[in-house]
Amino acid sequence: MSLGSFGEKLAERFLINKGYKILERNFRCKQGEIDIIALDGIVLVFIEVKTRRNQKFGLPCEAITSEKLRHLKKAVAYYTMISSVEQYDMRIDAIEILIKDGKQYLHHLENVQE
Amino acid sequence: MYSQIVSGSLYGLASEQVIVETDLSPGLPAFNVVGLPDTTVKESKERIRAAIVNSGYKFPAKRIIINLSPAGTKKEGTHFDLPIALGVMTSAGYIEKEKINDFAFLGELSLDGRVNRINGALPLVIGLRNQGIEKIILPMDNAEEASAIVDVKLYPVDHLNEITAFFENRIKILPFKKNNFDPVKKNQERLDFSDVAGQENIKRALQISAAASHNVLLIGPPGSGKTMMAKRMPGILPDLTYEEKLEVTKIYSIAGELSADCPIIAERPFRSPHHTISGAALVGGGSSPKPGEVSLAHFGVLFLDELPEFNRNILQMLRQPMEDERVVISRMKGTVSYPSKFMLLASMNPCPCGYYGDPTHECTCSLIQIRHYLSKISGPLMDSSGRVII
Repeated sequence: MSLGSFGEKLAERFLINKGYKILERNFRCKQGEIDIIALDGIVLVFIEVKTRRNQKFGLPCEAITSEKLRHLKKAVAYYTMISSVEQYDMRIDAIEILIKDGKQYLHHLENVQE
Repeated sequence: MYSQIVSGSLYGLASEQVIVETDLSPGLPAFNVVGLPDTTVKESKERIRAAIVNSGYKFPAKRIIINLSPAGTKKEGTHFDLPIALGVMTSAGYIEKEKINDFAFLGELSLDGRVNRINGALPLVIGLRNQGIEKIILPMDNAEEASAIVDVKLYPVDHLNEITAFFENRIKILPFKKNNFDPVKKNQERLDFSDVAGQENIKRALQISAAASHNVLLIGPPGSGKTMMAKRMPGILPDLTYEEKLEVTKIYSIAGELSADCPIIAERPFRSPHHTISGAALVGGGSSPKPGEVSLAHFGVLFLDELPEFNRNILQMLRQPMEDERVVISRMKGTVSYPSKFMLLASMNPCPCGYYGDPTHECTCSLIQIRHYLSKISGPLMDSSGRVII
């Protein structure tokens, strides 16, 4: 299993423990990819997961640039259109995971856009 | 979740009411301002977000649309921070809609939620009053300036939290009262005209022109006291009337020249720009035109020391404002007119070396040099001022 999908599994378990309802994993479309789509109560949450083994290139969340967010937003717009969920409150979250010396550090950032 | 807040927008000296409409709708969180905001208003988004969060409220994670109505006129100024922030807070349910209906809001926000002073408070308050608004919430620092208008209730505030506490009846804010223009601190120590010794003819000439607001050109050799006497002119000028004070203060308010120490211009202005002044600074200008020195000298004195040193084109710009007593500035964004009824006081030497006609010094200039020197000032400008030769 690749590092990315390992991180996504970890994030998923974390979200389920937090009481989120997972709706989709790895939603792909022409505009981009959404790692996890979940329901936090009445809020639809789109989650980008970033996993790293070291901090040589900075924190994992620093890799989510405005460029990536823009792709993500386009994918979100596509998703909301095809699944007609416009009436939901929505949010984009990021989960950064650092795996170091066999330990896993997970950090959940809410509402990361702009 | 819709709400509307009353505020105002300035254009030149005029002000009109603006309704800040806010709508929160579900969807990806966004914060957009429409209704032709300029950069200062667009930037306010960042200040508002931080101010609301730092005042202890949750910034709503919704699609926030702000509309500044009427949407067809350009809006500028940082005084939209407070009404927009309150629009967001009212739409989010932090403040009851019914309670804020009678109020208008003006104010700039700091990132920690403090309410900062704004430019143009007096003309904005006058404009809102003329549109029938009786209660205005505005920054504490602007209260004294705006209190020149007596028939509105001004509620000065320092912090966003004070406003929410006020509408929840947790605290009382008393309407600001004070000021009939009199107990104003002097801007500077005034120079006294009685310092002038001798020179009886010139004193009389300046006295007459001070009383009737005639233009004066002082011509004399260096050291004869031209500048010294000119600087003492404000001391012998007649007092401003209430309406005049109001009009001058409005201009200074828009130009951003008022401060907490000097909230009202109660004395006749005395402006003495340096001769390197640019045209825009003299008559007013900018893409959204601001008043220049001729308007800042309204009902006062515009003193041009060493008149021939001024650029000839710059001096020509004075002719129309002097003639019409107002200056019309046209830019892409529209045309603005500011009043400019000032007394022109200028000083110069009679020749380049300065001593032409002086009984004690010999003039070293040639006739051509003198003619060239005097020709720097155009005939019409020369004719428009009474001349005093020292």
